[in-house]
Amino acid sequence: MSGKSKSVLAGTAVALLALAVLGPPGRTVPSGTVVVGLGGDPSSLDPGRVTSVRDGRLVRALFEGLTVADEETLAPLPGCAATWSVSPDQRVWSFELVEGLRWSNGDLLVAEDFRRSWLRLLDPREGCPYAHLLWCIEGARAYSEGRGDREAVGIATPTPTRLVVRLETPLPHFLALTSSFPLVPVHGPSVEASAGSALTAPSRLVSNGPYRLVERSLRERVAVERNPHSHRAAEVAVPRIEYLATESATTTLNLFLSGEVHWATAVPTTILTRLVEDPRLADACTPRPHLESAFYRVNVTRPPFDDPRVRRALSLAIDRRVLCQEITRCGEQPAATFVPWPAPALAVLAPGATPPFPEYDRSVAPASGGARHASEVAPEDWGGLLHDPERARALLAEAGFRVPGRREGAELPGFEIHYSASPLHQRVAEWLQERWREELGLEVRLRRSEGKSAIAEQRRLDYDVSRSSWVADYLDPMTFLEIFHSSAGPNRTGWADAEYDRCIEEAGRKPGGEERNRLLAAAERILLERGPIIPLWYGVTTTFVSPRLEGLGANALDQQWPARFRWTEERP
Amino acid sequence: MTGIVARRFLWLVLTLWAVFTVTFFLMRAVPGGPFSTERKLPEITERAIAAKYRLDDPLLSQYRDHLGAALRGDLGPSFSQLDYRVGAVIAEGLPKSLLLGGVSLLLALFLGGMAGWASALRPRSLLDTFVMGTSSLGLALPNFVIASLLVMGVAFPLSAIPVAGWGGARHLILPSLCLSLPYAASIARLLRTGLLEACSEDWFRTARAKGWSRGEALRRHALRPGSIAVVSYLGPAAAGILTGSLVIEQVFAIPGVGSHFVQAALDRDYPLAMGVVLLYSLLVGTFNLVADLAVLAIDPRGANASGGAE
Repeated sequence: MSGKSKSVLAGTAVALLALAVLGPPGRTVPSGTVVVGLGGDPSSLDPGRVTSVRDGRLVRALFEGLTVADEETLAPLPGCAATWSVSPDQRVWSFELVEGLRWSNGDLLVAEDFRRSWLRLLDPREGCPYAHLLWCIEGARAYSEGRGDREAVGIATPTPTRLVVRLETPLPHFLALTSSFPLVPVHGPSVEASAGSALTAPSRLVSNGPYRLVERSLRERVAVERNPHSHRAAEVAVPRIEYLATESATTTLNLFLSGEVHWATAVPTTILTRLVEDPRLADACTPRPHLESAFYRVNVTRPPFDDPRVRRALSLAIDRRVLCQEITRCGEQPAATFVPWPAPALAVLAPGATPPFPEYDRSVAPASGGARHASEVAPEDWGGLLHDPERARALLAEAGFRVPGRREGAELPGFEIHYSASPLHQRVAEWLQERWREELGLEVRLRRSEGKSAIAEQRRLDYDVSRSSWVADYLDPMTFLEIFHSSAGPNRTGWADAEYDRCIEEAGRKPGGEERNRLLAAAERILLERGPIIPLWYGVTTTFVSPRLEGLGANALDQQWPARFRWTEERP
Repeated sequence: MTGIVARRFLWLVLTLWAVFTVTFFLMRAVPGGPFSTERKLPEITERAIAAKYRLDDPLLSQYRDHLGAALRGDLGPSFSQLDYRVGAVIAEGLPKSLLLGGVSLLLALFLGGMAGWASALRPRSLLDTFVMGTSSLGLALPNFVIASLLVMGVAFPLSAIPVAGWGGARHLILPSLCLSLPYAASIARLLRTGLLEACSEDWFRTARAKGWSRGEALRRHALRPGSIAVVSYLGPAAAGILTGSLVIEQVFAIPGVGSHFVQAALDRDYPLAMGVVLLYSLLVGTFNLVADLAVLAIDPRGANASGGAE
């Protein structure tokens, strides 16, 4: 090689080296910082615009509502409201704010901030996705739908520290709603100045929570630091939290293994069973019950699924214990009901834990058990409650269809399992295809759709049987059961049952108590006996948490309160 | 030369308009809207959101408005990053993609150039077989396999090299290596073929007959014509490598623009998808033009062959 060639090569090498050195300067994470693998970017930091669990994690760091949920029991604890009271008819709630609350820029925070923020949530021009959470307030729905007056909404501020809310009808979970992230206050002047698009810059986002925004870099990280103006500043033990926007669960796991992430909120589920055998991860990974119900929808507008016996036969042919042990394998428990985590299922995964709906639990009867209450079923029997292939074949025969072992009846037409693209959904669909073929002799095809397309197809009722799941918005069985009311948007099955609707509507008018639970339980029985769903499993949240990070709590809504995080320098 | 540039620029503008139009209508023809989620919003809220983002306007009116705004340099608000406008999303990600892509491109040129030269210097030797075998492997192995191997084989054993993330020069090492390897393999093969083709020409044999060594003859006479294919390849390759890679950005958590190409489509983020598609088209058009001009500079006969009177 000539001298000139050598000098070209040497020049290239020097250029490479210079680029590497002159590239972005290395950054170090300040000591005591907790790093969270968020699983992606938040869609927004404006509490009025966000919807996902991921967004909620950041909103809870930056903002504080009237109440905050206990990280274990989810019971509402004092937040911005120091005390509250409710009228005897449970329609008028009065909240007294903590004296001297301030925003992160030092401005005073008063009850009017809550009123203005809630009215903004309801403003029909804003299109806030969680506006309906406040429809329980007098005049709120009419205003939100553009039919009513803003001033007629039943929210008043008789004093700078008192917020009075008048409900249309009593709502048992209203207090719990006040800890949900869409109902936190937003700083009026900055929202008005931003015209809805400038909450990106740390200098502009004024918040009232335990932390304030200090850095936001798209697809990289959101960093928050202790808010010195928060009334909880003295309680906040972790000075800085960095939320990494890393999307890949495998990459987040790699970062967790290398110690750069302390809490990985998303894990690669396909290899989870092997991961938990790794001694480095054994302590870090615990599946926790999550208020999520995984199920298949059945399109009742398409024969033969208009016959409830056919729908029920499909459900009874499935052994959900095998499904959870061999296919999903992340700690999910077989579902015999639609409302998740009744005591027997909970006892298998989290012995000693309190069921999320203890009162309701005592009144719900598993479908095939008839008169039995959920709490009377032994944990070992729960998973098999909805598995009865003999009965499934008998039901199909009764409906006039041919089943294995019989020559009479018409052949059940083939149908499609419709699911959104994901390795887990694919495995489950393939497994069900095989089960239904073996047990009932059915010819089942698979149809995979990309996420948004799958939702659009469900809405158009363009499917036979379609994968679904539902996660609770609030801690009440109604959050699940109301979605199959004939007028509910998420119904997406074509199913309407007058008795079911009546139960839901009547329960909605009750302030709580045994009668309300009885009505909801009756509705769930109808749903399981003749409804449009095939329950599959109760969901779990599986995350990797460093043993040095404490205070995350374990609750069924997967909600954490960052002000309670504790970081221990040495492994306990 | 000026005429060629003007003509190509005009074609680039027309191409961008065609890309804009096709992307606009294709995106909207795909089922599912940007704000449709598992939990259906109340009708009134859906209508309010549609009005806010003007998704309820007639399609042709939307097209006209978006085209007008795009001509003024405003691609509108992102539908998935609700606090950002598309311009800001690209402005945050593009410099990172350009830095990583630039380093990778130089690395690819360095590695590929070295390998191609070495192969051409001793064709059919053991070294040539090794280089060509390795480059075949580099082309055949998917990016995510190379990336996983590097993470397991390099990053975990050597704690100085981070497994993922962004923030310092050391964060560039694995992703740039990984991103450059397939390009380096292509460059090596193209350069080798180009040089060997030149070697079979009469003038090369004449040069050798004059007593020049093979390396000297290659450098003096074959390098220029032999590198035309590499220069042509570098146009689209540079556009691809500089706009990032979905796989590399995912595996190494690089906050570039590469992931938006797929994610914006999945999210039905029409404005962002439009932004990245236009960006890519612009870069492909520009780099192809630069590459063509470079080829013309290397071999001016091309200008006459293409009918240019310039």
